[in-house]
Amino acid sequence: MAASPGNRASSKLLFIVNALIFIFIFAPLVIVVIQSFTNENHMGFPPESYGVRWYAYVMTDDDWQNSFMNSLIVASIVAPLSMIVGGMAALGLDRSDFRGKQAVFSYLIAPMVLPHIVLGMALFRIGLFLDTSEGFALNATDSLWFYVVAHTTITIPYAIITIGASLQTLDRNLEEAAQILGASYFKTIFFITIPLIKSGLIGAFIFSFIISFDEFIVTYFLATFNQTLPIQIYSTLMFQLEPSIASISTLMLALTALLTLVLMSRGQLVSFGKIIK
Amino acid sequence: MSKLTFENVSRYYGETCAVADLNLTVSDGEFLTLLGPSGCGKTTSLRMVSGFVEPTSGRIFIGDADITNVLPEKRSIGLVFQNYALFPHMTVGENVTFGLKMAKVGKAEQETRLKEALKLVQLEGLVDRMPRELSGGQQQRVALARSLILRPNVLLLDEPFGALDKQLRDYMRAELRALQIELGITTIFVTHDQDEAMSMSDRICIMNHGHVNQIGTPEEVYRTPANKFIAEFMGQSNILPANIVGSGGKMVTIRVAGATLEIDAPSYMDSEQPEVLIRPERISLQPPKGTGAKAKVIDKQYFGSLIEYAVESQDGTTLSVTAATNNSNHEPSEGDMVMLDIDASAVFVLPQREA
Repeated sequence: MAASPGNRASSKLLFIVNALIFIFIFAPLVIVVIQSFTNENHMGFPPESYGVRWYAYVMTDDDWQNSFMNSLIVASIVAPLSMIVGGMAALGLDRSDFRGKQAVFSYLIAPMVLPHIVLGMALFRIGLFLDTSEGFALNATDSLWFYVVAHTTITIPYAIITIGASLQTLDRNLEEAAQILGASYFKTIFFITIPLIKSGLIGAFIFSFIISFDEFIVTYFLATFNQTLPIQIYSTLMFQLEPSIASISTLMLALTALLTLVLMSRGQLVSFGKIIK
Repeated sequence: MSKLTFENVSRYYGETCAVADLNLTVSDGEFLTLLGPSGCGKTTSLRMVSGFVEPTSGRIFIGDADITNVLPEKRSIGLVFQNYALFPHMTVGENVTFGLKMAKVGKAEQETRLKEALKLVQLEGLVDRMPRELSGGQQQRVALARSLILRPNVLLLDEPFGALDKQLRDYMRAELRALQIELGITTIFVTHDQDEAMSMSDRICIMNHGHVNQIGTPEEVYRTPANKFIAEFMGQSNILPANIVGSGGKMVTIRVAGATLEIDAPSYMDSEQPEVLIRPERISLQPPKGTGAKAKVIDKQYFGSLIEYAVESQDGTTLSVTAATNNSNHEPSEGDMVMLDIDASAVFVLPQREA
């Protein structure tokens, strides 16, 4: 089909609109990245001199190191936990047909659409209850294990959706074939199902990791001394506009971008988009 | 190898009956086909043997062992799916030895049996290929090898030729049948294709709406169908209204499509106006002369080895007639008048009862 003049004009317009959206989204990020390479004591744009001193600083400073490690530990536990729990939920939903299945699904997905501020408040209340109740006294708030619980609540819906999408494309005959060849239920899951939904599992893992690593609102309710990276960035920002924020933000950006690239290369974002629709 | 028995097996889905009171014995080494249109209950029956569908009532035996409540993985059954269901993340070798691995058979024996199995289906040399690199026919052979390597008691084939093109289908059909005879394995084959059923089976079990309508050899179900449904389902047919015009002893005289014929009186005939089955290849068209039934050729289609005619008899009945194309046959053209030559032995009076 030859492009008509009208077609060509509209595709040009489309290009301009896309370019504008692109600039709108990325310009602030680009400015942060450039600022992170300043050699000055204050943030300014454009920087008067360039260097990596603030990178050196965030990598050696105790506060930044601690909060980074906290975030890393929490996300590293949340990701597999959410993959496993979400995977089991997705499998259960895929394989069974019962009254109220849709309701159970909606319930499991709810943390994705619930206002996180409400979720944060609720989790904070539960944390306080665990802290103070006789018999518990668990020191829930301000502890990493409770961050893991809170973050997993938020990430499980993403895991369920991503793994559920993989399960839907899985040919059930393959599992039946394995069974008739002598594989028990668990061996079938292990040798057939898991290898064939591997990309969904990896997707769930990475999604959960990114979301946990980046989580702010809910953690903000829970954290006092034990800070995660987003909380540390926020509290630093409240007191001084130190270029360290730009550096750490750039590092976070790089990590997230890297993980997203892994996701995209496995086609997971595409299937996620399909499900959302 | 063992015989397989269905004893009063029924399966309901809520109020809907998928299989009704199935009683069937497949003999040791027999090739039995479950044939019928989709929704007739043939696949449900097969899945009850494999264990993925539980009978609502009744029992299933392999040999003398009741397997009704045995898990699929403990049934020692081979199953070939329509889409073969090869494990896409495993090589041909890994696919074929999967069952041995599950049974914890030693590595050395796995190797020997893998070689045997691949030789059986002529796939030596493809052991390291992935399933997606194989043609449809090769994939089917891998699926067969994967089942047969476990030396199952019963082999189940669920429309295994559906995904192949016609030439390959004919070839694989003959090959599979030869292999089945060689191994002497009791086999149930599910299909909706009557050609496949006829050419491969020892016996055919024709099902409709969950009921068995007839069990018999291919020749029996073709020549003496138990009802009109089977007559129409098994190949092309002329099912025509006939009038009994006279009877004497074991013979009756009928008029059908303008022709008067004296045929053997069937024991079950209870109507003065029965329906009769005449296969298109049992009618021949002759030049119009004498007093025989006349008809007019209204359509003629040429298929190379045979010609299909549609003719209209003088009483307005339309019949289809097929004739082999050879020099000795009269080959009328569209619009020609012909004489219908129907052999009395070609007329089969359909039983009135509906199964």
